[in-house]
Amino acid sequence: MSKLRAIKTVQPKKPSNLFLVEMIIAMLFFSISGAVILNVFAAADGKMRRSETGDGAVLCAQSCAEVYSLKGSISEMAELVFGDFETREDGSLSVILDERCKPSKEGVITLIISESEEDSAAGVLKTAELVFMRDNEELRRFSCSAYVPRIPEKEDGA
Amino acid sequence: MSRYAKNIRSGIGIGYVSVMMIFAVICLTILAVLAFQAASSDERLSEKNIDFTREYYTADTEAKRILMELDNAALTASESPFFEDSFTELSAASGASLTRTAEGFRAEYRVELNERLSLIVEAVFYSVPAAHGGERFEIVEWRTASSSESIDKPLNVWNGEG
Repeated sequence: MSKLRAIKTVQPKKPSNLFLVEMIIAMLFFSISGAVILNVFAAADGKMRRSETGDGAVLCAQSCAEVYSLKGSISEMAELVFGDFETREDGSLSVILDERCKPSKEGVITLIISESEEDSAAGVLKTAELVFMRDNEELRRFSCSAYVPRIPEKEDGA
Repeated sequence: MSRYAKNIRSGIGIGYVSVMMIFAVICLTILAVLAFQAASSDERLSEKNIDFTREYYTADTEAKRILMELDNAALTASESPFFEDSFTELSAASGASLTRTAEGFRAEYRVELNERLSLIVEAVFYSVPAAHGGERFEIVEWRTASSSESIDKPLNVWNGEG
């Protein structure tokens, strides 16, 4: 009988303290690793955006270069490629582009187009400089050229 | 003994939560690493594309500068009584190879684009521009080619016809 009483009075074990400790450690580990993983995802997203902008800039520059090679004038080139542009005080042109370097009125990237010339007796070698800017910081820079030969006018009656 | 065992309440799977947590973190880590690697590869490819475009248009500008030199030579030679001799002498500095044709000269030159590619230009310069609407030259070819490709044309080997 005393043995039966002894069995009845034994208190069952309460493992809840160990479970709580485990949960705390697991949550701590998960929060730290989650923060690191989120940073990695954010870095990957940033790289993707930069490469997207770079690809867009290359396509834009190629279009500008090919049209400039034919037309030999930055204003005609900007008119054909972008449609809308602004003329700055120094004679260069500026175009507002979006993240993918497409014309946009509310874009974040500014394309500045400037021109220089090398004159000779036979013709003019014009060089256009394309600078992609964002927040006054230069992103990319390309240059292209066009050779415009001087063709003598036909003499009447000659 | 069995009553004793029944009276003991066991915990809610101690270690089960930890295993699931570790599994989830490992999966997320693998995903994050793969996403970062894909983005890095994309960025490297984009940089290579940008570098090649810059190299191409730098070579293109140099080729146009040589074209301008040859055009100046053609303009000066057209004003002299001996176009062929004058043009050959004046265009020597440009490094272009000249071939005499019925209309004037065919000039060919190459501009190095990078280690593997070159820009090959071929233009015909007329001895009598007035016969061609006042134009002194016409561009026949403007292309990229492997640096090992020869600028010389292959010989006209008889193919059995005629």
